[in-house]
Amino acid sequence: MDEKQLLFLIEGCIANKRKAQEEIYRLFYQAMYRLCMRYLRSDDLVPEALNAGFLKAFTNIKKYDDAKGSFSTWLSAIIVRSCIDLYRSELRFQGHDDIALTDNTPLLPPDVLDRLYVADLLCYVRALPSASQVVFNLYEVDGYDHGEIATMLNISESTSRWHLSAAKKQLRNMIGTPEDAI
Amino acid sequence: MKEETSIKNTLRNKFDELPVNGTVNQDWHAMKKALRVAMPTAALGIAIQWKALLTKKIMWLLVASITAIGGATELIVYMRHQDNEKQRVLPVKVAPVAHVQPVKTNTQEKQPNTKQSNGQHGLLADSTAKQNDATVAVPDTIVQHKKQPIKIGKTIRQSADTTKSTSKHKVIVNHQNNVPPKIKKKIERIDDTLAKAKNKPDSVALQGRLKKHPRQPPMGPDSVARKHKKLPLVP
Repeated sequence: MDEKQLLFLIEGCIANKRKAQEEIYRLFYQAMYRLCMRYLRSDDLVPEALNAGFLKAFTNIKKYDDAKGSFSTWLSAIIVRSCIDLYRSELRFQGHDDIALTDNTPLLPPDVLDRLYVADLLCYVRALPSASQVVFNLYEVDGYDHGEIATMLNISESTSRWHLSAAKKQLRNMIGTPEDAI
Repeated sequence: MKEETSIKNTLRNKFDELPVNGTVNQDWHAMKKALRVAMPTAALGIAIQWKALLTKKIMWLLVASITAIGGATELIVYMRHQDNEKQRVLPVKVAPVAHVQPVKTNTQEKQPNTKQSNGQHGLLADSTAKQNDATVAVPDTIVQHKKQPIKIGKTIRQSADTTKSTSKHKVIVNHQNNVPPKIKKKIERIDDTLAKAKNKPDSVALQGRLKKHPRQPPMGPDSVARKHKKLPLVP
């Protein structure tokens, strides 16, 4: 779908047209569903988080500015926030100020990742503690920096760094790749 | 840094391969319900307004019909009441009474013929006043009530027949309805007896009665009666 069509649909959503909303929903359903799967521990919670996110997006669609970024990025940000909101009570962040310059070592070599099944990878990510899982997803997959993560989760940047480092460490251990090999 | 970027891209690509378990239609249905509550569409709003309007209209129609039915019932009851009043009040016999000289006893009394009654109540008042006051002037017309019971032996003027004299007559009224059953039986019995007597003039009873008072033959010394009674002969 090209930009014009997408903008037309967005205008329809602004006019509260159910058909346009349905089109947008169907268009981004799969991508957003996968996003929710990464952030949530169970598939059962995915539709709830997804619909909450979409509802938030449709009610605030007037605030969307296409000059600032793509609609997909805007929508995924909302969906991520709705996922975080869904189990915010479970998120227990540990403050570690001494990790100012933590390891920037990559998680796994790309060839090792290629050999992994995506279902296994998802299982490993879901096995992480909630806070570490969120930080890992935000930083490694969705490309947020530590400042944004800190603002989003209402934690300090160093705490975000610590959780990322801990997540990588645990994943390496789970996958079974020695640290020196990376 | 490049390696990190490539790892990020690889991870993204990997996660993009994730199979989606959800069903779009089912989730959209749930989404639509949520949207209907959170953001009702204009069409839905119009539909809700129409529904409310129709409900209001139906309510008004109901109220109006109930009022109309109530009013009609009230009117019917009132009209029946009026008819009953009319039947009770309207004169049954209105006939002029000839040769009646009005007696001027009360100066305040007005002539009923000259008086224009406004309604039935006025007429009723006039007629009752006339009935109650017997000594007051005799009007040209006598208003008799249909349902007014006439007492036995009461004297009224016979005004219906103008050819008859205006002298007082006793009005014989068939009063059998007002007679108690015991007396009624007695009357019937008497009537029966009289009827029998009329039909059978040669009946035994009549003969007996007649025999009671025969012309007595002179009681001579050879008379049968004397013999029968065995009366002694008086020299």
